[in-house]
Amino acid sequence: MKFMKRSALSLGFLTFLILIWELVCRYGDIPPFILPAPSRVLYVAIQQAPLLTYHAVMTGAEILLGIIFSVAIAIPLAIMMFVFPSVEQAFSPILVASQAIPVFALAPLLVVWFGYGIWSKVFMAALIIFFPIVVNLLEGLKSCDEDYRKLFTLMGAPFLKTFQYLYWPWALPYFLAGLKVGVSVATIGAVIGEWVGAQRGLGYLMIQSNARLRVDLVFASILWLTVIGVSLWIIVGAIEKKALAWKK
Amino acid sequence: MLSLDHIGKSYNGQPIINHFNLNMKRGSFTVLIGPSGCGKTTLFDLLTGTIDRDEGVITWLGESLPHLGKAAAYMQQKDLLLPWLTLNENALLPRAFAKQNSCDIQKKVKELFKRFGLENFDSYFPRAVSGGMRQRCALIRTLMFEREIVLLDEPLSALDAITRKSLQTLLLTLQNDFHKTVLMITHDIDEALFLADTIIVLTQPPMNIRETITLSSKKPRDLNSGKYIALKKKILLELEEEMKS
Repeated sequence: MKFMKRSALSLGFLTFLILIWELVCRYGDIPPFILPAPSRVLYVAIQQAPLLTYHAVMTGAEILLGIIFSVAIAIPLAIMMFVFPSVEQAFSPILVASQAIPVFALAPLLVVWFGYGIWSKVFMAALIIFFPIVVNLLEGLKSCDEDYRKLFTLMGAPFLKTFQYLYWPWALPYFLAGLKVGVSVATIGAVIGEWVGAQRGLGYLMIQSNARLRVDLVFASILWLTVIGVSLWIIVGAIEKKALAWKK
Repeated sequence: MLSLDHIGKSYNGQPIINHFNLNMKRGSFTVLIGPSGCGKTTLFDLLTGTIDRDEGVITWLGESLPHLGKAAAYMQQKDLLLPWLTLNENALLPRAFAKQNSCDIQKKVKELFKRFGLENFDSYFPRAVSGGMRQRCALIRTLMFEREIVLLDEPLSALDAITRKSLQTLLLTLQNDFHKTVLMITHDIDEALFLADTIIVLTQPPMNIRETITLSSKKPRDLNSGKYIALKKKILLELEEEMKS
């Protein structure tokens, strides 16, 4: 009931904002190449659906591959950092430094190194997702209660069993929280990569449309990106709900 | 026989436990009672091997051991049930790390759940049951260690009076039915009088024995009898004097 009320509230507020936007565009004498009305954006999104889908598939693939790669590397790295403090000491400054470098600055280099194809964008998306996952998972593993560790030692549990029964379930909520943050910003990495150099993707479509003053198509692309981002967030949320069913 | 000879531990040159000696008969129930912060839990940490002792010898059944880590089961005030496992899975946890016929273990756990009044709750997650039920499950898990010595660190102190009373009776089964050698820490004098064969009143740090009280073997005891009321007063007086010193 609480969730329904909250959803209704945010949906109501969003509808209100869209309504204001529509009215401003209709009666404010704003040309569509500056700010198209939401109805116009929706019309273009439907009319140009095949084109948008064609590009969205590429962006979606970049994001998904980015998530897969970053998770595949982040999990073992966080575990290594947890088990071996020397690994943490070695990697922590690099991780922090990697966050200090703007992704925009790396994008041209990645296009040079990995080409105009999918991999430079996958790398960008992976890079942006990687940090919250590693940091959250490591924090989760470290936060494990000392008394539980003591109990497992007394039970004579080997490390792998302790990890399976204690550390991993303990850190799972932290990992999923990191993944949620990661997937919601993953679109940024992919789109920036496409802006710098691509032949396909929503970011590429945005740049092309913007150059031709097709701002309605730019907005339609943003709408698609939002759908991708929110969908991923919902999927991770569903995984979280299932994996953490014991919290109910 | 479990013997602790001249056990000692210091932190930053400050002795916490000093030449502590204790002899416990196999199958006996000994209760340690003493002022807060006197070093009781540190003693348990030394016994379980969580921390190293500076000096002393631990002997169990004639064999000198570095610690009791592999000979003792341990239960704390916190139930330490894993919230993501069901009560049944929590109880089975100690056996998950040992190679043993799973059918036999499952049967044993089922019997214990029935005996401890958790029969229909084995598939529940810990947060869905009461504190008393969680503590009973923790007690079953302690039994599933299948170790002869049981160390209990204030296992009932977080429970309400009625639940505590019923669990005290269950603790007695550790000795009577499961033939465990039990060493327990408590702050509750009534609990000590109800459960113990021997009550050891401890001193302020550096911890040592102030008084050893041996009780009759008859259990359960009527704590309203004059004898136990007098003993309670005596222990209380000992503790008050110790606090003043």
